[in-house]
Amino acid sequence: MEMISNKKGIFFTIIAITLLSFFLISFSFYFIIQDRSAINRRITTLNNFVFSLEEDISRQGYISGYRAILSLEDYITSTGSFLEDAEDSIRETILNGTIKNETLNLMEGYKLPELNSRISEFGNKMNLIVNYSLKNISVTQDDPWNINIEMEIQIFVKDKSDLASWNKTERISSVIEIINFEDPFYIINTNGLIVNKIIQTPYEPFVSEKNISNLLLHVNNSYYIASPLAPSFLDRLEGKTGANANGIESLVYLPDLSSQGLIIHEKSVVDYIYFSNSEEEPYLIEGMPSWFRLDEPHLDIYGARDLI
Amino acid sequence: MMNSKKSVFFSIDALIALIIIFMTIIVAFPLINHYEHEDFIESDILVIFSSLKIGEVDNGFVKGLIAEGKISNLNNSIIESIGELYIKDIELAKVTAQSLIEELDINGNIGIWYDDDLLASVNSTSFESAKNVRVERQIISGIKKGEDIKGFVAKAWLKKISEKKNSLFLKGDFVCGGWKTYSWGNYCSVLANKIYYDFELPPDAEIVDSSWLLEGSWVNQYAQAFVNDNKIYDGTISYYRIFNITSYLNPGKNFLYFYSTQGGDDGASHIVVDYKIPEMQTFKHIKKFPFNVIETKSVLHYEKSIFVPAEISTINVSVNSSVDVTLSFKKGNQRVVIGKKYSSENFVHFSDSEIKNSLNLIGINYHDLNDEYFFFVLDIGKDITGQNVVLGRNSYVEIDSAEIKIPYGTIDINQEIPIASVSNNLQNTFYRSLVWEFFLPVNAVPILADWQLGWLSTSGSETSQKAGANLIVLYNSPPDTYIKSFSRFGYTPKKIAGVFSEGKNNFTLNFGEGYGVSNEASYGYLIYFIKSYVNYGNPKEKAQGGTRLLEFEDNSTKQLNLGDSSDPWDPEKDALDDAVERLIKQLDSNNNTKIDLILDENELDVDAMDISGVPFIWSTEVQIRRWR
Repeated sequence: MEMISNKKGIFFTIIAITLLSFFLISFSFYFIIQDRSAINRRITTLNNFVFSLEEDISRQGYISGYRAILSLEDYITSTGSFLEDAEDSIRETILNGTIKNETLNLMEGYKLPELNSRISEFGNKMNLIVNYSLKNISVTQDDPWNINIEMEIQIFVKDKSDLASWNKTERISSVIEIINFEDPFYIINTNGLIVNKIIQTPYEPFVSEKNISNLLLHVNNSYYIASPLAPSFLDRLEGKTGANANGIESLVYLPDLSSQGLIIHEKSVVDYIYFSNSEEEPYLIEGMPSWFRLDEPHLDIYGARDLI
Repeated sequence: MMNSKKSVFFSIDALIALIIIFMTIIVAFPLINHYEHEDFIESDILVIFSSLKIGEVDNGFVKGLIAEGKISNLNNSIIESIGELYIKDIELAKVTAQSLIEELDINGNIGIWYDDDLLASVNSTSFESAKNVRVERQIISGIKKGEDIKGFVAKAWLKKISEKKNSLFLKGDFVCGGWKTYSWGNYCSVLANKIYYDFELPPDAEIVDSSWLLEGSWVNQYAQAFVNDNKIYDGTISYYRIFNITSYLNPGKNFLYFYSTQGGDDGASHIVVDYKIPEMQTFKHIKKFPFNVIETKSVLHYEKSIFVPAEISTINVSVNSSVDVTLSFKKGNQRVVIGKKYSSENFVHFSDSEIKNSLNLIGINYHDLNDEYFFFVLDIGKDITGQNVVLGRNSYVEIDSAEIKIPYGTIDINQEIPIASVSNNLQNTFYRSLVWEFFLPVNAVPILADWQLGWLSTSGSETSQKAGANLIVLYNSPPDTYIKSFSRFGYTPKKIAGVFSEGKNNFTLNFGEGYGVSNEASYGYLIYFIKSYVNYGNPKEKAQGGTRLLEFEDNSTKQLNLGDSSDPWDPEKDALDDAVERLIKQLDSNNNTKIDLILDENELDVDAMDISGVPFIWSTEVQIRRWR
């Protein structure tokens, strides 16, 4: 009987040890899982932060870029001269808030590098070390009505407890619509007396069945159309008059010029031709005012070939 | 006993087993529970809301807002669109956010916060009672409660002006007939002289006021004065005399002459013509400095004062005379004879190289002549003492200097610098201490300040002479050399930084015993450019315009109506009003809130530019919170 009792004791002891081991393993497993889950959550948070940072840099690029273009238009008005290199100038303005080392008021507090501190502050709230640096900015026009500011940015985000870090180079784009900006051609070529905003025409087609009412409305407002024969907005900032696939053009409303005492020329009223030394032969258009003339290549664009 | 021990043992055994089972359940349950609920719904919502465009959302309420135009930018993300509504109409933002979040299949409690404002939530328990909270954050630049999403900036510019006031300032030079040099010094004889002054006004000038100050070589000198063949004076002049000659002048060429049997001009005489002209830009770069036509009875001594506010490259002198001509140069107490020449075909020329070489002999190069007065001195007829001498027309000093760059879009202003105070009277209107004051408006570009000074020395001996601008010492004798005839003083911004400043400026003269300058017989002349436009200012909340009464220097007023004339004039909020106010400030040359140019609403064109999109850098923190 005593033997039996001993066996039972061992049996119960083994069960107890097994259960205890199971308990200990479960407990350890629980903590491992819980820890991994915390890491997962943290990494997701960091990942979302990086995602939101990229989104916000694009917005900041827009804000800074928009102000840069406004500032450069101010600069053109002040100096009376076009920019030597629009892309360089926009880049300098966005990065330094200057043009040719001259401070631009509208850029105060809006330089792209200044925005880094705000992001760092935001990251700090989330126990993150955040740094981003602009490696390069390129300014391009891929369509007539928008400027594309592409920023190559080195992003470094690190958890303060060294849990994880992100270190990557991203290309982030901001698109700025040129609608409502001033056309530098008008500013310079009228000594700052005439300002014309870039507004897309709502009056196409211009001529239908010899009805010229749309063409009249279009020229009266000096609205703009996309034209591959004309200079782009970036070209206009540089005073270039050559053709560009992303070109835009307006028709100069000459009565505005004469009312300012400016001498009127008998030339095609297409802006980049009128304000250049071009010798394109101008054609009077039937039904249009006596000062209105178009050059040969624009007769088709404005549907006026049958009206000469 | 055995049974009792066994029962205790089994009871304890069972109890331990139960405890182990119970603890295992406690541990296992939350583990299972944890697995059941481990997801990232809050971050998923944030990612979806910040990447999905509002135009792509299939939500009836949102589509309604788009149709009503309350959401216009369809390319904005959901988060940005709610953000814009959050600024404009927080209640609408709440309803929109609620309608969007309710479409999601969410178990548990989820809420969207913009900064501290809860916009929408799906919850079964309140956030306040939450024991476990998870937060996902995102920052949106350009949006801030209480601030504008889009601002307005405006620029204003003058298309043209009705008219502006110009001042022509013609300085007389030191002229003496019968000049004699003795061992003790020089002497200006009491001889007959006829000095001609001529000038040309623009054909469209409207003459407002004009004066001629005559100051002869001697006190109580007999003189006759003629303006365009009208004799305006015949008598003696004690110290000096000021004539109003407005009615005798006309646009175009004007001829004045001064005849005296007893001497010449001591260099303080001057003519000032105030006239109105419709042109904005009238500044001319002066290259030729003509000598006045002179007829005298013996050796003519003529000191031509010249002030050039730019880098000089060449100087040539041409003199119309039939007799010998000696040309000298004088600056301060430095003096050099350039040469003596005899007339060939009634003209004598001194070339640039001759002048340059002579100046080099006394250590002066052309660069030293910028921004300071210097003199070319003619002595004509020294070989024929006692005979008539004539300095004919077309005699001049021609100076080629760097063009003064006229700032783009500016109006040149030239005006008198009025005297502000005098003290330490020497005699008559001559004082030992004098202060002139002038005001430079915002963004003005100063070119020069120039004084012709009626001076008087009663002691004949050297005394101290100090000149300063804005507390900066410009001349201090001693140690600088004593100037016997302190008849000219001028400076440009290049002289020393700080001599011109935005706002109030002053120029002071202080002399020692026995030397003074007349407040009446002196004239200060200022040239500067004002910008005819103002660029974009700081963004404002609107660009409506309004009505503003413009006051002009002649106390006339005109009503300016811009944009919506019924809108209140509030430059703090309205970009158009702000632009006009900034422009008016630039056009006020004496800080009396009155415009110095005559213009009306047809001449003042103001344009406004709407900064749409996200022009401001302030930001909002968006949080998606999940709680249990």
